[in-house]
Parts: sequence; structure tokens; C-alpha cells
Amino acid sequence: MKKSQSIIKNEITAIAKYFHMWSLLGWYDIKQRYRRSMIGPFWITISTGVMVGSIGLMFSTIFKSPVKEFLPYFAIGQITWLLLSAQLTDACAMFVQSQSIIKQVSLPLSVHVLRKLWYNIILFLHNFLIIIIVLIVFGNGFLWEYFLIIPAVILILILLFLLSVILGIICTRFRDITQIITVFLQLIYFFTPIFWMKKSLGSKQSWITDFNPFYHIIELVRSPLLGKAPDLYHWINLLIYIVLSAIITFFLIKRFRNRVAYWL
Amino acid sequence: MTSIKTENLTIFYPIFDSSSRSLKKAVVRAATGGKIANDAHGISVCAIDNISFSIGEGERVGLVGHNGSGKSTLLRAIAGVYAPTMGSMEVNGSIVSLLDLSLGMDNEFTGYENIFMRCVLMGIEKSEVKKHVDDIIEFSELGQYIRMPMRTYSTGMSLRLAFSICTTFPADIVLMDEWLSVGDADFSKKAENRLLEFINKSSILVLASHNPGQIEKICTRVIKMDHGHIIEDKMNNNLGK
Repeated sequence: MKKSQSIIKNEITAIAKYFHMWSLLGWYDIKQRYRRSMIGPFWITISTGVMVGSIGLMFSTIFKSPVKEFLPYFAIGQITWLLLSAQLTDACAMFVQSQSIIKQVSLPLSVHVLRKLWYNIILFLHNFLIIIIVLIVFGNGFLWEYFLIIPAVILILILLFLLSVILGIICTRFRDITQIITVFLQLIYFFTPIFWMKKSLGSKQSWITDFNPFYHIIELVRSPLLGKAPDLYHWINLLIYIVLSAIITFFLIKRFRNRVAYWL
Repeated sequence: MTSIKTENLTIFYPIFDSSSRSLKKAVVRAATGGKIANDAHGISVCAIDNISFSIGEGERVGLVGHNGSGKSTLLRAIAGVYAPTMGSMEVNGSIVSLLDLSLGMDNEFTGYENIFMRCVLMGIEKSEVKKHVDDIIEFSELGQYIRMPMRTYSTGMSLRLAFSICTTFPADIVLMDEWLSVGDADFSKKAENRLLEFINKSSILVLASHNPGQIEKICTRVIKMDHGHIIEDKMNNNLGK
């Protein structure tokens, strides 16, 4: 019992204790990916910008909604989605990718998780430039509601951290889950109000969004940036996800932390 | 007080992708390798089978045995990578494992960046690395190349850099898989001295090797392993001869 508590304590204190390690590794991953490119990670800004701009304009025509309304809505939703889906996809493979390290040095698993999370946060920040530009062009000036995204993003990152540990451990043991997650994420994208609006669903179909965690998470970032404080039930949903994932994470860490190296 | 202590240490590897029994039989028939066990959870290899020993301060231990006798697994267990399936493993002291010298280094990065990359994986803070970076560069004899991407290096140059980094920061316990020898004749003499000096700063050395001559030259104690068992554990009487 005592031993498993110390394992969990190790994993949590690692966040601060190994800050120098995961921040450097995550940053080097970015550097590595954009080596020899002139503008480096700003390519991600450009590619997301082109995608958001063109699809935003096209769908606002198809759905006959004003660009001023649809483009910010789509840009914020899409960029938040990119953070979520990229981190969850990466989480599945992260222990397998770091296996040479895991098999040689004994480090808390959090280090590998935070390395990936940090990598995706940096990409998210580059994408966030697009949101800023879109809000400057189409927004209504500065709003106090904007500040609500700070607690929202922090909570989302905590959730992503916990989910990443869960997916990392499970996918290392059962490699097929990685493929299932990829397919699942592709599918859920269409069931999440990102390029369509919730109001276009009838009240009968509203369960599609009510039971969709991604909807609640995205809404917490999107609605403050569109000038409306998010409904309380979105916050409650997110907190429930965090508590549930924390319970599963603790269980998995306690039970399987020491097995991960054997599964690689 | 630096020490390594194991009691009834047993390590089973699960094997997930060997579902066919014929493969299992093939592995069993092979002359080398650990014992294969078949339990309720599928097939697993027993790499370390119920061994107990303790290593105290100042000991230089050589691990010998044929391929698959459990030497590397034991090194990894000491490093804390593999938790014991059964029994216990208690290690006091900081560890540096020289199993893969160029761990984490990337060919796209410059030698300079790779110094930081490699060091951070040994748990060394940036400020500490900065203090020693000149010494590392000087010892590696890379000169101006240090600012070039590592893909422009020859194999020998990369190894020299990795070696210089790994032997800069001493630790209580040094784990090594085969004695390191790097570079051309001149460099390898210099490297040998540095390695000996590095080991002298440590309190315990565990060296797995296939080279009996090397073990006799360095180690105070020789542990012989076979199929995950210790079959011989004796002092090295030929030390220094």
C-alpha cells in the first residue's frame, strides 16, 4: 500500500522536479520537426490558417450563415479540437516512441506525458495566433469574458494529462487500441459542433451533443471568446471528466506503472 | 552508503506476440536464452530466476555469461527500469547507466544541442551542463564540428561526443554493458584513462562483459550467470596481474 502511494507521489512531484527535462525534450521535439525550415513552427500556423480560412468561408456559404459569425466560431472550435485530438492521438504512441529512454533510465512516466503535452501546447499557442487574428478582424473588440479561457484551458490541460496517462498505459499493452482511438477521433469530429452549430440540431437530436465530452470541452473555450460566459453545466461536465479520469489514472498507475517497461 | 541488494529477485518478461506454440517450442529448443514459462497470462520468459546478492561500496563487479543469460536484464533491474516480478531490489545511490551512450541524441541537431539533450536525460540541469560544456567539447576533439548537425559526423565522431558527455558527470553507481572503447588508437588511449578515472570516482561498478580479460583487469568480483541463475560468485584473484 505504502509503496503504491509513493509511486503516485513520484508521478505527481515529477511535474515540478523534472520540469527542466520535459520542457527541454518537448521543445527539442518541436525544433526537430521544423529543422531546416525558415519559419519553423509557424508553418503550423499557416497550414491551420489556410484550412480554417478556406473551410470557414466555404461552409459559411453552404450553411448560409454570415462569415462574421461562422468563421470565428469555426476557427476557435477547430483549433481547440486540434489540441485535443493531437494530444490524444500522440498519447497512444508516446511510451512506445520513448521506449529507448524508458528501457534505459528509470523516470516517472509523467515526464514522457508532459513532454508530449508540452509539444502540443506549443503547437496550440502557434495556432492560437489565428484565433487572435480572427477575433481582431471579426470580433467586437476586447471583452472581459476572454479571461474565462484561462481557467478553462488549465482544466482542459489537466484532463488531457490524465487521459494521456490512461491512453499511454493501455495502448502500450494493447497496441490495437491506438488504431481504434484514431478511428474514433475521426468519427467524433463529425458529431461535435465544430463546423456546424448546435442550433441546427433539432431538440430530439440534442443528445448527440449533450453526451459528447468534446462538445462541453470546446464550448468552454469557444463561448468566452465569442463573448458569452459558458453555461455552468459545461464546467460541471469538465470537472466530472477530470475526477473520473483521475480515479482511473491512479488505479492504472498503482497497478501497472511498473509493467510499462515490460510491455515495450 | 552506496549499495545494491537483491533478495530472491525474479523477473519474468511477458511475450505478447508469440501466440503460436510452435514458436514457443522453437525458442525452448534454442541453446541460449532464459527459461520459458507458460502461465495463465500467456507466455513469458524468466530472465532472472530467484537470485540474491548484495554489492557494497567499493566493489567492481563483472557479470559474465553467454548471450541471454540475464546480464542485461539484471543491469536494467538495477537501473530501476524493470521492477522485480518477485523478490526485491534495493539500490542506494545515484546511478549512471552507460548501456546506450547516445541515448536521446538526434542526427539533425548540432553536437552542441545534443550535449544538452543527452545530459538532460541523465537528469542534469542546464546550468550544470553549461559549466562543463567546454570540457566536453575539448575532450571530444570535435572543434568547429560541434556547431554542425550530427548527421555530418562520422560514426567515430558521434561516439566520441557521446562518450565525452557520459563520462563527465560522476555517479555513485556505474552500469556498463561491455567495456567502452571509442575512437582511433590515440583517442582510445585517452578515453580509457578518462573512463578509469570516471569509474574511480564512483563507488560501485557493475560491468557485463563477454571479455574475460577485461573483467580480470578491472573487477574485484565476478558473478557468472546462466539461464537467469547465478552459477558462480567469486572474488577476482587475478586482479592487477
